Amino acid sequence: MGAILQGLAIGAPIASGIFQARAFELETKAVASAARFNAAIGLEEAQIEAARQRRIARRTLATGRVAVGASGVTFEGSPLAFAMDQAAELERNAVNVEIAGRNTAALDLARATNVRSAGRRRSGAALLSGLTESAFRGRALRIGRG
Amino acid sequence: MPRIPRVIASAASLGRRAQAVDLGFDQGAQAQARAIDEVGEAANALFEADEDALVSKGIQGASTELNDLRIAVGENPDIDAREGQFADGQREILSRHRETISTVRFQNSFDDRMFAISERTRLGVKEGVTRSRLDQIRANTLTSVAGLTTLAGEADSDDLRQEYLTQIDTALGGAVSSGALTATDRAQAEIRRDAELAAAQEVRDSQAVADDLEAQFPGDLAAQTKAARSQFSGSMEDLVVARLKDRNGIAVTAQRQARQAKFESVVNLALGGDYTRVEALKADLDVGQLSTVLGILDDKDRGKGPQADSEEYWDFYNGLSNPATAEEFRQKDLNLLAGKITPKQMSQLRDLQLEVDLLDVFPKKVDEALSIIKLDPSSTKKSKDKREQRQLFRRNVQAAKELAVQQKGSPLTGPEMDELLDVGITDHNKREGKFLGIFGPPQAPRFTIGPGEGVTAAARRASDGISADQWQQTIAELEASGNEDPTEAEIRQAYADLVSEGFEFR
Repeated sequence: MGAILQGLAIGAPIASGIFQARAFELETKAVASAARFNAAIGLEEAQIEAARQRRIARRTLATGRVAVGASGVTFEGSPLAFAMDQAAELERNAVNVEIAGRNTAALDLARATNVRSAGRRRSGAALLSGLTESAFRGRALRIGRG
Repeated sequence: MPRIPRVIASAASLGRRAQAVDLGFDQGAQAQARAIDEVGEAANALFEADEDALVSKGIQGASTELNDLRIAVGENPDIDAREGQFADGQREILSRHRETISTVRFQNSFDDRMFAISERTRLGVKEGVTRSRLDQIRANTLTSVAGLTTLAGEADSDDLRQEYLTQIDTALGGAVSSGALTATDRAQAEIRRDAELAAAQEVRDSQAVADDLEAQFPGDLAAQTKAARSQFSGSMEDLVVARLKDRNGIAVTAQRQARQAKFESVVNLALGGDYTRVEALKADLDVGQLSTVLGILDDKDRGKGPQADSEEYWDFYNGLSNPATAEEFRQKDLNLLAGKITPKQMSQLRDLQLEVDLLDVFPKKVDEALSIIKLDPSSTKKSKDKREQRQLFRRNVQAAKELAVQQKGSPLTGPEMDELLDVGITDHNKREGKFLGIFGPPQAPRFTIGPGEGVTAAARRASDGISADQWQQTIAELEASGNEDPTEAEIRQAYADLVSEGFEFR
């Protein structure tokens, strides 16, 4: 009985370390996959939003040109400059949306990479911790004749 | 003009963001790891508790055994060996109990916890050794003081006595300084010493007084004791009177023995040779003895001799055999029957008187010895042969006892009498071969009695450390050198010569 208890006491930290490492590996893979998935979705959402922003811009500029034509004012000089400024601002909105989407995706991808390497380190640490604990207990409970 | 509503899509949403748990993250694996960890912790705790229990059990067992060992070692009479004996036993006990614990950590715990206990026990042994040594010193000191006190009491001169007293003081002082004796012990020893010295002084004084009284009233015990009682009282009176009686008894006995020896020789002469009445008158016998001798001579002249079945013999014999009158007949002078009974009858009656006398000293032991050799004194069978054997045995025992008392200088104790009777029984069985083997194998004798050697002579020889074989070889050597009938003294001297010459005895 004593020998069984002694074996369990010494062997359990190693087994626990192995299971812990396995758990960290699974978590790492899941977190990395989620990050990659979120990056792809974020990028696509940004492109769709940028397209929608551009459609809104085209409609806004067309409405402006109609209003200017109906007033009898020719579309030259100041009205043209105003319309050009408006078009530039609207395009900037769309581009910003695209940039935001790309940045978010890039961060997600980076996170996926970092999580993988952090996961490997945590797994290694768990194994090492289990071994250390087992070694400590093994020394404390070692069979002795002297 | 009606306005056609313009539609623009709302902001696109492609669904919620993914989480780790959506893509294979397993909480169960971590739970498994924790569970295994907990199992390990529990096993560790149980194992430690188990080992801790073994440590406690080992400490209890080792402590009990160490205590038993301490007691056993304390009974070893060799004080110097006690500490070594305890150290060996302690090592063995601790090692044996330590081995019941499997892990080094708990073995170390056992060592730590046992250290104080075993050290305390070891110190107990050491203390016991010290106490025993002090006791030994105490005993030696008191013994030496007792011996020195005796010597001081017997010292011939005051200077010598003072020297002994100084040595006593030195011994007592040293013992008190070393702690072997307390001041109370010393005081008690000094009181005993003073009492013994006073008693010894009283004995010396009583001797001097007895000498003076004997000089004043030579040969008159009544006058001597009367003077002693008038001059002294208490223990001094008792000592002086006892001494006077002892001396008088010795003198009277010697006189009586001398008179009797002379009478016996005259009777023998009268019975056997050409002894005349004139010679009998000149022999300085007392009236009764002279009358007996003259009667013998008259009978010779008339051609009559002692009768084998004379009335006087049987009167005396019956008187000694009857317990009611035995004491009275024991006191009577047998020599007065000389001429009226045969010499053999005279010898028998003398033995019977001695037999009665012997009953006073270890009577039961002598009777037991007689029973062993089939000479039971209470036997109703009348056998002349047995009676003679019984008398012979008693006479030999008596002779050996007197020799032993003389050598020892004091009466024999029960065990000493047993030893003497053993020798007597062996001697009897040797001479009376018909009794051998009847009562099982004979006991190994205390010493061997050689052929033709009496128990008394054998006892004397054995007390000198000479074996029967050596004695016989010495006799053979003497015979070879021409001495056919050597005396005991000659054999003894020849033995000493042979030993000094390096003679190799068988």
